[in-house]
Amino acid sequence: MLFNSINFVIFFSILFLVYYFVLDEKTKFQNWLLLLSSYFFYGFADLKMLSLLIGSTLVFFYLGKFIGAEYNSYKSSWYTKIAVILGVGLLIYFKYMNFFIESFASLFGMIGLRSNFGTFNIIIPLGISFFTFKLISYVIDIHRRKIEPAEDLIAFATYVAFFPTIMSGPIDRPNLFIPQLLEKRIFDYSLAVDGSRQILWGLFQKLVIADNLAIYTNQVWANISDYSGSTLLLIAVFYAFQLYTDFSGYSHIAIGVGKLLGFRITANFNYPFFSRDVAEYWRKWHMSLTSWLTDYVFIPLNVEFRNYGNYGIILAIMINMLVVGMWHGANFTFAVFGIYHGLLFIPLILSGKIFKKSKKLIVNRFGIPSSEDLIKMLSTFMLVTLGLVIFRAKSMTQTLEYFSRMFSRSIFSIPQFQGRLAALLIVFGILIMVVIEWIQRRKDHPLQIDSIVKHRQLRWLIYYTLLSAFWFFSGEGQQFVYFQF
Amino acid sequence: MCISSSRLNMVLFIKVVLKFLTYYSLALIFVVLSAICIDSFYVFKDYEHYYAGNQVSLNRGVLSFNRFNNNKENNKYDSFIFGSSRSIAFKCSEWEKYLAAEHSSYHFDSLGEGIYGISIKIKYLDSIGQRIRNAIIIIDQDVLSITNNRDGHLFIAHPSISNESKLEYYYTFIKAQLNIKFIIAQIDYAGFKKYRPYMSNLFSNVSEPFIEDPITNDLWYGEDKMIRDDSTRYYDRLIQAGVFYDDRPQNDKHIYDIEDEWLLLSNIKDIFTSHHTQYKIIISPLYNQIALHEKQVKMLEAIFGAENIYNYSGVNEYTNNYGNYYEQSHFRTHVANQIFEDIYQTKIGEQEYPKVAPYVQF
Repeated sequence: MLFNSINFVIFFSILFLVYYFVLDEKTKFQNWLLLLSSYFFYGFADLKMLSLLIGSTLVFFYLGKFIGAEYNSYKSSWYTKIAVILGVGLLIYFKYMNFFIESFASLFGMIGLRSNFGTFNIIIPLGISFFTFKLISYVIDIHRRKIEPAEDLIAFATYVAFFPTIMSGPIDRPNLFIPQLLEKRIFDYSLAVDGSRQILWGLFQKLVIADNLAIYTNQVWANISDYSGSTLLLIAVFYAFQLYTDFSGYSHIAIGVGKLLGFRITANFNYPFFSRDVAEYWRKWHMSLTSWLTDYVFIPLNVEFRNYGNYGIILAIMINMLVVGMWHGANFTFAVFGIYHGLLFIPLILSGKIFKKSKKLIVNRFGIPSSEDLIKMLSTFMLVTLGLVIFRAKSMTQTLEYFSRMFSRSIFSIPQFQGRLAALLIVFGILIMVVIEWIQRRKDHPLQIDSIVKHRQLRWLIYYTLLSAFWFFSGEGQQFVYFQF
Repeated sequence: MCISSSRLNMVLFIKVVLKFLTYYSLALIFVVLSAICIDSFYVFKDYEHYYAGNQVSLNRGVLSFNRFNNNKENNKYDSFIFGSSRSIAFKCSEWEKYLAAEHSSYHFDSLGEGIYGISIKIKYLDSIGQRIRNAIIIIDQDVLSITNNRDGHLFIAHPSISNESKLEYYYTFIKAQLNIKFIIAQIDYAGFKKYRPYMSNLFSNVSEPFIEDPITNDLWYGEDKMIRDDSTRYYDRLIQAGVFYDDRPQNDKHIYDIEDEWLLLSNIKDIFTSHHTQYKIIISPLYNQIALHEKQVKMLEAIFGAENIYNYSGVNEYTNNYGNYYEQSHFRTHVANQIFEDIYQTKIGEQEYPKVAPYVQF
């Protein structure tokens, strides 16, 4: 059930009315309703794996209790280790098992040994990368005494399975989300209005920008060898915007839906394409994942390697970025994508800029940044765009083919692809989006416009324009890219 | 009675949302009703002729279904040709020469048809008690690879066949009709009567009209007349545009997971068996000269019996000759006619491919 489907509109409308009209302020019943709705939502997409979700929720709930009960004993540490191994094991089994088997078989083949490794017929459960991270952070946070073990199984299970975020995040932290489930939820008019606007912006990003860009990126990626260097460069830029608007659009919708139900969900994007270096970019892109990995992977590694100075930081960053890459899937391209970004961090580490707060953006009276900042933004964007070529490719061979064709003499030709003129419309759409995002870059989302558009009629006109864009400009329906992770 | 502030706020919120949506809906209803009245894709109303004066690309699957539904009472169809746009080359009028006189045939094709679409069509025919005495399925790698209902206004299956949401179905066409690219293309085409590259997939780029048989649903492409009028000019233009490329891959190195294909084909076979259908599976002679993967050929033979499989894929006299094609994707009617002759006389492998002249005239 996609957020942008009629099924979801019907599902959510019923849930919303029952949630507030029938169960108003009855927190426990509201949680029950949220849990059952979340399981229905998940089961609608992946019924076979619903039992895995429920089973792992139960196991981690009780492991959390054991850890909490044994705070002062070595057993706490053991239970935590078991829980982490279990969580990571689930991920490895479902996402990486076949990849490891095939990789070992190729490795043996390369050194002349024949192997009879057979792969398994494994179906990857939807959202596994997201809900296992929630489960792992829950037990580690209990072990670190950042949170108490949850007393309420229903609230905990709702946190794990919360339908707006289970498929593609944001990855909420237990210390921020579980308390919201235990509080009385009073309908907050302002929050609901803000959530509705955020949903509208998310739908615009997804349906108008991302889905239209997908038409061109899919067309060109299907036959790279048919296109010139300039076309491939343009398509790489298109893909960067496609991925951003697809995932950011999804996150906005998820956060907006959460707000309508009275929850404040962790932000996932903070206008990443305005970043002036890669470190800033990763603080603004898929923030819930990067902050998770910072807390549970990078910081422990950095502490472990603290005696090695900059080399220790580089090693910690490289491992962290490798995990970021591999989190997206079992493919060497994702590993290389992670390593590529890790390498981009090295100049920042050596110059000591990595832990410094970014300088405040200074703009002139027209709101335009300095040329130095603009160059930094553009160069960071291009570095990210090149990285996303590796990310998008099915294999390293395809990555190399893409780059070799892109960086050929034909990069100086005029881009040629089917529907080139129609693509100008979408380029115009991207420009409008970038300008709006730039103006609103200090806001949670670009439709927080109360302070700049005072008249309600004018605000409604803007909303109507966006709604109409869904009809007149929407591309062919595409699934959210991050569903596959 | 005390009403909580939470509830009051929510009622206020719902009122504002409803007000907002009501204004919008009024405008939207007007636009949607206009779209339904204009019916650019010929899906909201019934038509006898779909291509007369119309250059808009249509959903052939929906057209085939509507026409069949309207005609089935008056024409006791019992023989069917299934396939994608490549099956258009096969004409019912030609096929009927090889069938007993009492049979009546219908061309039940779809644009971008997949094995899923063919399977649900046959299941639909079975479910409404339609007799299926004879059947021809035109298959190729592309057809086999599509094992789900396709999205998009050109490909989505009719909900009576797919059993999927009617709302989604009509929404798809309204959305396509309101798409700004289509609106611009329609105004542009209405004004200048000229096809432009950006109109691809929306309008036919052939200046000559398509000719259709409203009873059998056979279709003659506009290209037929263009070739008939001046075949040299027609092919020279395509050769210059690089349509008939030389480095044809011939070998298919993909490893196919045929589980879904097997299931859908088995469903078809079961229905054929229950209807005692005389069927033939024809593997299309595609210009790319890629032979259908051995794994898939074996699957087809295992399900339908080797004697019913006619494999024209790969390198052969048909695929060697660009004159047998309208462009690199669709073979011409004379090829299909020749195949009819072949399969109703000898089993492939026992005969030689006939040589077809590059510029065969109709």
